[in-house]
Amino acid sequence: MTRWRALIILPGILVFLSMYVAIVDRLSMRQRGGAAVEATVYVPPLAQLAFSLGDKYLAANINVFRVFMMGAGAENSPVYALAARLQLDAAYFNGGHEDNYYVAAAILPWAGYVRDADYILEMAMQNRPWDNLPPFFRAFSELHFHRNPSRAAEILVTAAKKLPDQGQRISMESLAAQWAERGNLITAARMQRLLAQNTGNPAFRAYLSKRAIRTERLAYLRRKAEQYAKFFGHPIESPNDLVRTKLIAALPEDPLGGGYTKAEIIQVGR
Amino acid sequence: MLLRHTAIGVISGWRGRSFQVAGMLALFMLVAALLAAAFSARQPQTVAMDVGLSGIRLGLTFLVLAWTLELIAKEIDRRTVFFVLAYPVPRWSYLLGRIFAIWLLALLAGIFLALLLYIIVQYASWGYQYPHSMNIGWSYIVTIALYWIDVVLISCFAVAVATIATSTLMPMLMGIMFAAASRMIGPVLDYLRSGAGGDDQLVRGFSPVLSKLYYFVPDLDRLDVRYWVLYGNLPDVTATLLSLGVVAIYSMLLLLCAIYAFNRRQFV
Repeated sequence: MTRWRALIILPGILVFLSMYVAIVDRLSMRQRGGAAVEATVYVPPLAQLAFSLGDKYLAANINVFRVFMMGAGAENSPVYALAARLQLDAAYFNGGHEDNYYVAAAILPWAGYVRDADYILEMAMQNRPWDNLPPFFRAFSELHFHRNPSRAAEILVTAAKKLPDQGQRISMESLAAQWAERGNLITAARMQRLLAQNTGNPAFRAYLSKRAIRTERLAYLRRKAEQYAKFFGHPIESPNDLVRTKLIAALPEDPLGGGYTKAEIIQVGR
Repeated sequence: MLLRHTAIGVISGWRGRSFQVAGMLALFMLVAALLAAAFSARQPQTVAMDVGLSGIRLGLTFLVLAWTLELIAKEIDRRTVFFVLAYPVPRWSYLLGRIFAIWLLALLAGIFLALLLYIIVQYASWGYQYPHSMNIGWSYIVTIALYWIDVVLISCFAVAVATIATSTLMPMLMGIMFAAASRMIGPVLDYLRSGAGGDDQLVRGFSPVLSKLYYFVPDLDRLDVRYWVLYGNLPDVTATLLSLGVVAIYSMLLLLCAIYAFNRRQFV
């Protein structure tokens, strides 16, 4: 009798189990509606604080660990939106977090979250006064993403001041001088003079002063080239056009040697 | 007699099971700090220190709550408190003695965990050394001392709850909630003041309530000066002293309430 019962019960259980597996399979295929991907995994900052029992540093660490764990996504992936929000919150809780600003600078602006990355870097600049990397990344963001070289150069100088080594400081300052030239030339010249005044190294000061003179002369040439273009209706073919048309008496001397190229001069509107 | 109560409290706090559980939790968090450092891309030691300090802060909180449970709430619940109160000593000396025992135990635990974290941080570099080293010295001692004061206030709150609670777990649960609320209120208010990330509705809904709550819940976030250890930024001395004043007055009032309630309590 008991054998007969087992014969009925066992297939019954098997049927139920296979039905269960089939249903779970179907269910897991179905999309969960009603919320965007990032909203299902993002909780607002106040809840993040509550989850870490009010410890804001812990909340910041949890956010940064989450960003590390998420990994990268494809272009325009919602992963970046989530990473940006998590990192913004982390910067808000603990502006000095080392991994947060580093990862933010490395990932966010390239995925289109330039302003978020800038905020995170600015928080890091405030909270890590000795650290030269946050202002360096911030300066790069100005140069590359905002296309504002003179502002970039200004920030880069503050980064250079934080470098412990004289040689490194000098190379970062000369980088700032080069960046400055890609923007407004008058600002660039002023910047280079400022850099020259602030350095303790005589050779570097001489180099920067020459560079400033060159930049001022380039600004003068550029102004004349613009007059030329307005008058003749086409840009100059070579710097000698300015001398030929008597706009200037002679090409100014380049204190660094090498002379002025046409490309440098007609780079108008920047 | 007060000191006798303290000594007995320290001994039974050491022997209690809640201490063992909370102590394991605290040690677990320090190990988590070591592992968390492995996640760091830049400065594993700073991350270890950061997570470890969170661990110490939470661990000490759980420890004082466990001791409150063990030394006061359970004694009331199991009626063992009757044997003590039968002696011709004032009730407040029992209560104060036990509270001092909790503070002393928390101090010892804080020193032990701090030393342990210090050792862990030395080994948490995971083979990566960033040129900047942390500022471990007075900053570390002050940070840990302020955590101790932080949990002293929480123990006062939990004891005050224990003197009126009829359930043993009540002081523990309310203590955790109080700890979370008082550590949160500062950052939350700052967040709302800074515009809450553009969420106007949140600001309008919460700001009026929270700015009044600020008088009832002490701002313990001010007592967290770990940025001094981690990044070398000097803490705001005035703000720290002011919040020490807040904490002192708040704890005193809580203790007075606790003693009053304990003196008047009808044990059945």
